[in-house]
Amino acid sequence: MTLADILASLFPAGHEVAIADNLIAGCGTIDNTPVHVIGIAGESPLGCDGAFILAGRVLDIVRHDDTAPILVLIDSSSQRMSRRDELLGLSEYLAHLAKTLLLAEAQGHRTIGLLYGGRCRRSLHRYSSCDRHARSASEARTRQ
Amino acid sequence: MGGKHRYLIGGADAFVDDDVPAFRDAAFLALAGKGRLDIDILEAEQQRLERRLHRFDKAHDAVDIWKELGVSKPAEIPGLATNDFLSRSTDKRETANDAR
Repeated sequence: MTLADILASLFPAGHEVAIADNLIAGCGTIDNTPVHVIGIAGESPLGCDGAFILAGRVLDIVRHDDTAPILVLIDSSSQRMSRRDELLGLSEYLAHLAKTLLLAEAQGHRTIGLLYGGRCRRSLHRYSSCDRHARSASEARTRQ
Repeated sequence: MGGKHRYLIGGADAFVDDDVPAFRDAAFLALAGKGRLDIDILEAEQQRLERRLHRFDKAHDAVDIWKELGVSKPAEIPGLATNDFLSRSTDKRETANDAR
């Protein structure tokens, strides 16, 4: 499923979710319940700049006087491993983003993560391979 | 060098000798601190992290950043013993004191 497919099926009545530089932001409505949406698209890595922008959006949500849930859409190839991100302390930007989501949750915004996209499919494939190996090893032990 | 760099840019709150007693003492101090999780402290952290992005955006390596911080003879930093490093860096480093 593409991001457009996911957004269309989650928000059949329409939505105001936009993507810029592979960062997702906006809102939609599910059964008359407003839902904030943030995330990362395009199987792109998350670096300092992106984490900073996403954290800023979560802080905007926290400042809203509502308790609307937050949907976090994730199609990412993990953290960006560049010299610049290392120099600027990527771990702090990621920790800060996590803290903003914790604060939002504490303020009453239920937070739901939705992994989708290329890495998600490959992860599921690896899981099923591991499962077959585990079953084979277990059967071998049983036969002994 | 990574630890010294993090101490200088405000990513680490302490820098100690590479031995367990020093780590233990620093851990006790850190655990005694009162971390906050509220909108004001996270706004402060957002601004602190934004300042860092702007201030060091063009840096090619850590020495560039240390030079920008005003550390004297920045190329010597990796080779300095702990006490020498601390005396040279304490007044120049970024901190996270009002943002965590």
